[in-house]
Amino acid sequence: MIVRVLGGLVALAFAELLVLTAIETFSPPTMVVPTNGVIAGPADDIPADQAALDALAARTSLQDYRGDTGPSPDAGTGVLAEGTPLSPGTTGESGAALVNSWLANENADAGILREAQHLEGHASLPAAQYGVLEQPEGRDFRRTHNGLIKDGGGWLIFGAGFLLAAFLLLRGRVPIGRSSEGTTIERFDGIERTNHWMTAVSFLALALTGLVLLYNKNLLVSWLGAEAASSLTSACLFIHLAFIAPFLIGVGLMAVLWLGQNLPDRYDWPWLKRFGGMLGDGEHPPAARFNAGQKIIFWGVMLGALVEAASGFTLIYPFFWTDVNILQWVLIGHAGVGLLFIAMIMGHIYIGTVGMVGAIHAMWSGRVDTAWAKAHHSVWYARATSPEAAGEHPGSGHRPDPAPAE
Amino acid sequence: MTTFLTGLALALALAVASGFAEQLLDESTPTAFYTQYTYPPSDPVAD
Repeated sequence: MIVRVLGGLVALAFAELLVLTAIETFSPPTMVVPTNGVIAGPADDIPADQAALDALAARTSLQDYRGDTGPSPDAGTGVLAEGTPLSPGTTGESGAALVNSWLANENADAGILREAQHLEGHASLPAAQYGVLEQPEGRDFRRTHNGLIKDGGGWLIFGAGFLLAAFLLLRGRVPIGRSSEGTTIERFDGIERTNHWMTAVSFLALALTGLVLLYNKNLLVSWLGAEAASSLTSACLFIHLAFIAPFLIGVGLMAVLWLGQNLPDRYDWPWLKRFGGMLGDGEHPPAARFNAGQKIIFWGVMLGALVEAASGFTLIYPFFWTDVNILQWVLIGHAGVGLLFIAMIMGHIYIGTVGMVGAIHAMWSGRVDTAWAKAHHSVWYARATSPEAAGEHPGSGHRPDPAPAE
Repeated sequence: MTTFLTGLALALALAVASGFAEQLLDESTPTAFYTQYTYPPSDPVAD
């Protein structure tokens, strides 16, 4: 009961965060107006009056993306105001004459009428990427990064937290469903557990430092100030790069240890159809060592790690094999997949700790209650305790020994 | 608990080693890999 109430309180907290995210997502875009050197700052700043500040703000707003904020404030009424018929004009010109007058100005107007061009050539600077003089794709990148990725991260993480907490409130913890028999069986051996925790710690470090890197400019600078945010982000970048090695080694070892046991089998579809038996209190569907939900997590981790590693190495060595345009979208991909990864692992952490009674022991001590094993992984338990399995790798389980349940 | 602490220690040790390796690699990597660059002293474009 207490656990459900706590779940409700956590769901409430995440709901409030979702409301804040919604406000951030749907409010009009803001632009930070620069003030350095304009207001009365330190002695070397040139002080200026309010008129100068207003002029600077107005000038900054001219840089707003017109797709979001509409025509520039300086724009006059266009030739084609809404409802303008083609044939009129104060001089009674026909439609053809109007079109001809437009065509006569075609060359003069071409510069402002065409889409922004990507300008690339040869610069006198030694690095090849400096030959790119204008790249309008950067505006699309900036809009995506400051819109979809920034707000999407809030929706994903707070949304996942809210759904999990609401599930805990409404469903409670998934029970074992049968009484303990007082005996345990080994589910994961020492190498599997050590590797899992090494990978988990590395993932948490990468996730938290990655979030700092993503939200530095949009959130941290306004919360901590530029100096503190800069120092924090700089440290987080170093830590982020340092934990790549243990994370990838851990994921690689997981692939070696568990890939064969995470291939689809005939128990997966019935398990998925019943949502693993987590919605009701009846008998759980049978499963081998890893059920369909765990296989989804496994393959999510494998693919996520692959994508993050490939995009991450591209970002560590910028311009090594690609140009700034591709790099921008590699960054978007790295951030987006990273956020999805975080939401997925939140679900994994929930079900392995709070969400299911008895689950944590599998990875903490390596031994689970035989009642838990029979309830949740009946096929694995049956294979593990068959006479042929005696003395085999703990992955298929030992015979249950009389060790009391922890 | 033991395996958790061992995993934690391994992760930290590998991260520290990786950090050192990263520093060494940074110092030995030619600057062309990064956006920083240096002009030769005789180049009139340089400040």
